[in-house]
Amino acid sequence: MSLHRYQVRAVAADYARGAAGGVLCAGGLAIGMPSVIPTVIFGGLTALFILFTMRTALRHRQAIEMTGEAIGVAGRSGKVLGWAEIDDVRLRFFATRRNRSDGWMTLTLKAGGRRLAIDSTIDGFDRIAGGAAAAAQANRLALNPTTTANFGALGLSVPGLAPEDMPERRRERLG
Amino acid sequence: MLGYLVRRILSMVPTLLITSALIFIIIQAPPGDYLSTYIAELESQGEAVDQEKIGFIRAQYGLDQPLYVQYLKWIGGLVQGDLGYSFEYSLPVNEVVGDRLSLTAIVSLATILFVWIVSFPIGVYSATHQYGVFDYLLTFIGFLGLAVPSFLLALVLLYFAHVQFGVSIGGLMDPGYIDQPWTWGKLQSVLAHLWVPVVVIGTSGTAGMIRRLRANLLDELQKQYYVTARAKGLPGWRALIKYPLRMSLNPFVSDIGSLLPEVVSGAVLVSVVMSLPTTGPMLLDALRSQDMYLAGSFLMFLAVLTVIGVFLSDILLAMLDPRIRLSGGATK
Repeated sequence: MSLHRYQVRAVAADYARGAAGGVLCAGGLAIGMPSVIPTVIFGGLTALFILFTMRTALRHRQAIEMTGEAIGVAGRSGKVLGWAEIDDVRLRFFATRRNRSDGWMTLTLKAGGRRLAIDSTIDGFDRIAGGAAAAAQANRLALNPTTTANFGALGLSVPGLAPEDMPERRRERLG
Repeated sequence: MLGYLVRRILSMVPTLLITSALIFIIIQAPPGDYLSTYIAELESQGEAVDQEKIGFIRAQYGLDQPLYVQYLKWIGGLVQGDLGYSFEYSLPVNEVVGDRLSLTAIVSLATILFVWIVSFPIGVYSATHQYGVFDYLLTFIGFLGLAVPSFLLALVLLYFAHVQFGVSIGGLMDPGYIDQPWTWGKLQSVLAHLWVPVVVIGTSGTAGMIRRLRANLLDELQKQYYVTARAKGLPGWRALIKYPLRMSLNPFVSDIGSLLPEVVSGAVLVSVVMSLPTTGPMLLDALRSQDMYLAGSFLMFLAVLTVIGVFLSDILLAMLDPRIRLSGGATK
């Protein structure tokens, strides 16, 4: 069994983003908007930043537990997805630069309508991704080309992966 | 996706702040201000200038204050939806632009839709029927579209419609609706007049988009995954729609960023030629007369359109093709 968490350094920047955006937008609202359109825009953005900060706080407290049989959120009320039950795996890359040279990945696992999303900023993400790739192999899942290529970039073999998708070395920077 | 949205929205803030500062500096760069130009104009006409009155107006509109104070007041107003005051029209900018912004938005959106609706099927057809008769014909028409400047096409159309049919196709609505409030009749009149400027402004964009879509789709159609899918017996259209078409949509999506402001600013000459009541001609006048808040508001409008366009294209690209780029250089 292994336990994975979002460390402080991984979420500190997100806290800062949430706070900066919230202060900017709420500040805009506080100075008073004479018309409806700016009020709606600033109100919507404030809500978005509050939501983001709350999600960051939840992630910070959350721990992902992985065993040979299942993966899930640690704790009594946390959702657990059995590896054998997983029916969809998606691995997406979100670029922080226009040339896509830097960014982070999000792994989304689905099993019977339940969904678990894990960012690559969590410690031990490679191990989690390895478990997901193995589950995709074992469950004979048809992965989309994007997910296949992204697993290939991590050096993991999944169904449908062409030899040219396998890099010689694993990608070093993932958020 | 939420994290991505937040990062992208936050990155828009410094971009817009820097752009607004640059716009303000550039507008202020020529010597003097609107009132100096106004005084010079009066003096050239031999009219007397009441310096006291000019001083009063300068103080009233804050033109005697330091540049940074003027900038902060302007940007503070913009955030609250107050675009400032137009000296030339002696009205708030919001009232001066009035209908023009909505008409510009209608023309721009219709043009973008026209570009996509026309170029998408033609681009796909050209790629799937490479070197066919229609591919050559469409390619030829595409090159014509790229080569002919929009304002020239507008002039040709105006001349042709007048000489052959005896009708004027200029303007964006029947003269009776100009400066009238929006009614169902006015909307119908705008829609009836809309197709000419849309075709004129959209032709070069359509031609460019067809070329890019054709080239991208041809690249995808030669890749192994498509050849394998076809070899396994997947019907042509299903194999095409499943992946190559989706990948070749990237230029459509990534073009949104440049298309929005391009359609607005690129249509200036066409608007002048075709007497369209859009923002372009007004921006030209505002820049000529140093009507700084009017010109600044227009330029900020273009900057906001660019930033929003790039934001939308980034979000759509992240949804369409969230693949990593390896150090080797190629997008994987």
